[in-house]
Amino acid sequence: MNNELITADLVDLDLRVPDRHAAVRGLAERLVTAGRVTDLEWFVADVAEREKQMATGMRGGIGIPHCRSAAVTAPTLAFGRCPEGVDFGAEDGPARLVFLIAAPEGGDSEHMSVLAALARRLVRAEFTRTLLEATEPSEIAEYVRREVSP
Amino acid sequence: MPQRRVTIASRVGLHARPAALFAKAVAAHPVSVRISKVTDGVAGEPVEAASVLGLMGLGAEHGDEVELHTPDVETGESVLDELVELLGRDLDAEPAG
Repeated sequence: MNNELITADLVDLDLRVPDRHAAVRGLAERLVTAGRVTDLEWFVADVAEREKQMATGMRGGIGIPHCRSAAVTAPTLAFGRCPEGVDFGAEDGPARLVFLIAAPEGGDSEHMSVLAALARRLVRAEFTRTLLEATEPSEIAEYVRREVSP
Repeated sequence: MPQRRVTIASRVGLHARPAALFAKAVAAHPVSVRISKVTDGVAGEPVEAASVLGLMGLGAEHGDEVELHTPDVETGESVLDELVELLGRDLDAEPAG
């Protein structure tokens, strides 16, 4: 298994889904296929539990659902671009850029450093513009790996 | 320029619920407030305190010191007093407002 934080197969440039649950499920299915998550339902339930505590929608059209789960085998990011937008609970509207952050149970400091590094990039207009304009999944995977090094 | 330093009391650090509650409290005031993480006594690069994403990017954990500042000399002191008091509590143990 590839141990990079994010790979091209974990990027969906055209994620068209009715709601955030479907967005999380769509990206989680990619994590299962990539061998990063052992049990889809278990993982999706863990993410939903975390979302219930606090919405993960951020100003600027960003959603960052995340959780630590025993169903996760390696710290991983999956990315979905939603042309129609998906409501993640941000006050200024739906998210067009969705990052699903999956961390194994116990690996807590790494999880937080990935989240912090990603947040620092997401406040920069250049970073979000690159994500919105990229045409190839591999382009996004490489860019995010380069920018968000734990 | 009004400024304060305070140690993060929330057990989970300035993330998730504590970050959301704090950003909301900042946004309730008309003044601009910036926050930076203090490392070895030196304040790092400041971010907008009203931005949850900005706060998450700080990576301020339980026990870390942060510095708040605002350019507003008139009401800034009382605003910072309120915000410092907030960061000095375990916000994760309180219901979301």
